[in-house]
Amino acid sequence: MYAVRAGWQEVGCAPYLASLRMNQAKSWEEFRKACTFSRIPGENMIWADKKGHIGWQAVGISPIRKNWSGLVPVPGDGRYEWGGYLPIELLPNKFDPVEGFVVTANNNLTPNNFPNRNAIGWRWAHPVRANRIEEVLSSGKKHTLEEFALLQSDYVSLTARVLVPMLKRLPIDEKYRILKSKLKNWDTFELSPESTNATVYVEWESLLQKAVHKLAVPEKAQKYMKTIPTKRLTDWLVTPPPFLGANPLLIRDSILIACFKQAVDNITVRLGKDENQWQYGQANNKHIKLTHALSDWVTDPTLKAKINLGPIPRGGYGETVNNSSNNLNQTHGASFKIIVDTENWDRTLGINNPGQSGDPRSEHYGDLFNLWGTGGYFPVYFTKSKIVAVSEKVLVLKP
Amino acid sequence: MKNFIKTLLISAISISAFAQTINIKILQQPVEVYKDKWGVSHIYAQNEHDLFVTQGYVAASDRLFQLEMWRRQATGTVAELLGERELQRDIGTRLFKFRGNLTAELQHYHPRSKQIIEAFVAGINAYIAEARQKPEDLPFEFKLLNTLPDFWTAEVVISRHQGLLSNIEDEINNARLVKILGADKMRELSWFHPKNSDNEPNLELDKMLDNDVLFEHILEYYEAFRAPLKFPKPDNKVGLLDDFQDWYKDEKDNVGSNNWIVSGKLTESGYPMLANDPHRAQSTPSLRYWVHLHAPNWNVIGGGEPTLPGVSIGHNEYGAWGLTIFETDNEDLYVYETNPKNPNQYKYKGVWETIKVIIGYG
Repeated sequence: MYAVRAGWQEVGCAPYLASLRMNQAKSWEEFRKACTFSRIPGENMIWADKKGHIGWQAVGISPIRKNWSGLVPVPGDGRYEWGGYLPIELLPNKFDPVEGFVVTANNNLTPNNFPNRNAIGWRWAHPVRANRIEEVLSSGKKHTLEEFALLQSDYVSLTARVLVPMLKRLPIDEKYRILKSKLKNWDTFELSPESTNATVYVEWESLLQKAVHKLAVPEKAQKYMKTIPTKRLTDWLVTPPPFLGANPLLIRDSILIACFKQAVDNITVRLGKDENQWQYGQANNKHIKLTHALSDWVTDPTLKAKINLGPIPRGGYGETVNNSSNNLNQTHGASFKIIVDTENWDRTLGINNPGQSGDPRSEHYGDLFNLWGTGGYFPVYFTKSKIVAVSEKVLVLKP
Repeated sequence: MKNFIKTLLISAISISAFAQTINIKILQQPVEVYKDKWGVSHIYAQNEHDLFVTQGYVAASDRLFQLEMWRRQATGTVAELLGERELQRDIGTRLFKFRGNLTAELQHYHPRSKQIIEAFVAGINAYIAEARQKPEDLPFEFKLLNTLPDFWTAEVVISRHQGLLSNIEDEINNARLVKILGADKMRELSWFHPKNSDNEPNLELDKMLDNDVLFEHILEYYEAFRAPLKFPKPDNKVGLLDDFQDWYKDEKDNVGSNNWIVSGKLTESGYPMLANDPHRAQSTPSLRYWVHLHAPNWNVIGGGEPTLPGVSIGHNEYGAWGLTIFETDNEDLYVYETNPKNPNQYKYKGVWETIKVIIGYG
């Protein structure tokens, strides 16, 4: 017999609802206190205020496991019990750090010696997004809203920076030579919609992932481990481990070249022989098309055309700051974005893809789709006079 | 002074030109809602109760079908609408529903969260009551499915069915992999961190589990309750759970977020700045909904799921905040030895304990 023990069955685990307390916080102290009520989901809560303070507090309901990691099932015979929950204030936090910024992107930010290690997770996102953001924030330039907007749309692949130079010293057949030399001279590593190098690179990276996975993960385990972490992919390609084959260097080089050739062949099939048509963002490559959940049931073509949106070209992939996912139709990523300069609340910028309304009869059903698709925002006014000036409708609700 | 009067006149004219009056009996005082060019409602209420009634009302007016699907998922009534295919989901929902102290639950989120949640629900219901009067004006989804939106309760708001919960699926997979590969190989192929030694984390299976039972399909009801709601045509024979593992992996790989804060020392304005972009499935309508809440002691703008009162990510007059996922682990799978003579008993600390059986939905 099996049983699920779920911390989220406790009082206070309705997702995000404790933000009601944060909504009235006037200082970091009040915000942090509000955070201690936030149990689901586990979150990195960040705060920036007009008085000049910034802070980060991890939150979430965290069972204390004294004698196991929580990563595998355990017998329910009484030997493995939770020892209460870790008080939220004891989760990692920072206030006005000397470096002047905090970045969180689902990467690990917990020190190795964290007490109650088994109360928090063991698997974290690859830190490429966090590292890219930190790189931009450490530039020494004074930061602005415009720069933050560009950073939320950033398409630089830090993995490409590791993998692309590996191609340089490897010989390849005549047929692929020009494309290889184009890619090795690519130095922005930006997966932008107009880039043709990005198309070749991303196909290559995904084939490398498959090839290395196949060699590294024994066949009977592949059903349960369908991919390997990108961290492992790059580590093993830089320093190939013996389990890749008897001659690790040779096998590593042959994988790099075979996957490159296969990538070019795949793209030729998908996008045609003319390399000038290989733009990364296009309907046959990376794009986004939003299909309404009931679309299959709609017979009226006018309604069908109205409820479904796109395709429009997109850039990036699952490990760029602008995380757009790894499928051709990139139906993940940031639909909601906000950037704030606490100097002036009326300069706040926001977006919500594809629109505020769920009713296709409303002009706000899909009015933000194209704006969002090009990395745009609307102004989020806070002062009443500014709001009145851009209002298209006023409702007066009376008892 | 003259200019001031002129401005007043213009704004009075522009208000009357676009103003629409709606009667909502449960309000205590009049409320103004300015809908801006981008569809954001700016709510100006004169008290907290009316503020949250109005938040519920505008959310329902913009997201009625999304709210109705949330309600059905939260109450385990999806099969009633979509048929037997959804039965497992509803059973799962009822199995995993919140059974704790509802009063303590509703009071947890704010010193007055019970009243706030109840006002929010009343606002949603006020809109639903209006909408049910004119079924011909309902959004197309209701006509297609031949259904009406139904009324909310506070329990619908606090439902956990759509939460980003934790790692129970991974636990079973991990155990299977440890069984196939051994703990060392499993650690070598994965990336568990932070850690102080190569032997961390401990992945050894207890002797009781070191067999093949973990390869059975264990979490059927859990998966059914967690699976996203879809509307396949009757000729589509894909079962509710057939694509769960693919969906789960896609979510694991792609749900994440960025946020950052920068001190005024490093900004052009000299003031702190913040950015946040949560990564979730893109859908129509959007998962989240912007709103501006203004009333005595409240002035907050931002976004959150339209099913919740308040704002999850945004700013007030003092500060701004945002969120990204931090990996906690709040789920564990337990395996029990049952009494061969009485399947309603399990062994706990050496004695047979009787399973508590809950009859019905309660």
